[in-house]
Amino acid sequence: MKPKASGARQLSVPAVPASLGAIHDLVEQVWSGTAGVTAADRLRFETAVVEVAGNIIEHATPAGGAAEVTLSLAVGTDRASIRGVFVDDGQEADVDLDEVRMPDPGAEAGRGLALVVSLCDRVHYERAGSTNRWTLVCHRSPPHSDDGGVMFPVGLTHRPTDLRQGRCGRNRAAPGSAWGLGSGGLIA
Amino acid sequence: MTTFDVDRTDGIGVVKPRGRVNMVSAPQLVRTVNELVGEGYTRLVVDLSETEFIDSSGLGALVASLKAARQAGGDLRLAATTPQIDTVLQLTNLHRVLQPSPTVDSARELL
Repeated sequence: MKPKASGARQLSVPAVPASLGAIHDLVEQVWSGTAGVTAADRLRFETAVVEVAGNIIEHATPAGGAAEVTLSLAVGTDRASIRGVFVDDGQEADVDLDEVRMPDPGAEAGRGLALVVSLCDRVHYERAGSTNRWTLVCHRSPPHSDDGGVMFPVGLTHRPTDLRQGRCGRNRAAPGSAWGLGSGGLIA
Repeated sequence: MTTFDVDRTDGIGVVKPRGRVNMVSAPQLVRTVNELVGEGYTRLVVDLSETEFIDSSGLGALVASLKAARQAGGDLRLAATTPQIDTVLQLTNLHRVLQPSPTVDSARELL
């Protein structure tokens, strides 16, 4: 029997930057309606949702496109996981989640999907007809496992073969990519 | 609505974002830092104690701010990061170049 979702919320908004606040607020409302989600689980799911929303907002409308793209988000939890599903009617996302890599520290963009893949236990994208569908799943930690600190130890560089099914807590940034960037190293 | 407080005490510019730093507000962080650098404040601290949330746009803005400070001969430090900010800094390896300090005062001492 499928566990009953608790604290479920959904919304549908134009895929524009001004909608980002409402999307973020929706996730916070889920926490207020769901007991026992640890702070660490909240922050990684929240971060992943905002990153995917930003990606949709940035890329769903073709350059010069006049048509308004609508984005919907449904978020729900059960005892084992937190799940978010985005659907939008924008152009197809040009993304291969297997090829997502964290850029070098000097980059000013390009970290969004790499963060999503690192933060979630499962990330899936599919094009179905004229819509895009993103599914994010974060497994929940035991309620009393929250120490309020940082949950990602520095130096973990494990890279699963399938990033879409990757476990959370793995640092997939290129190992050592930040080395050699001492004072002044970011200046081109 | 995210706001950016600015303090110019003792020749060091301290920028304090209040609220969420995301794709909407991140450009304002870069503008604020560039204005300070333009005024001659090349030693900068970004006080994140009141920053509720930061996304990859915000991280990009911090990198751009660091570059602006260093290109002007100065430097930039982060102070008072939250668990959410620490998490994204570590996942992106940016903690190595942005080097968070526990407090604004300790960040100032490093500049």
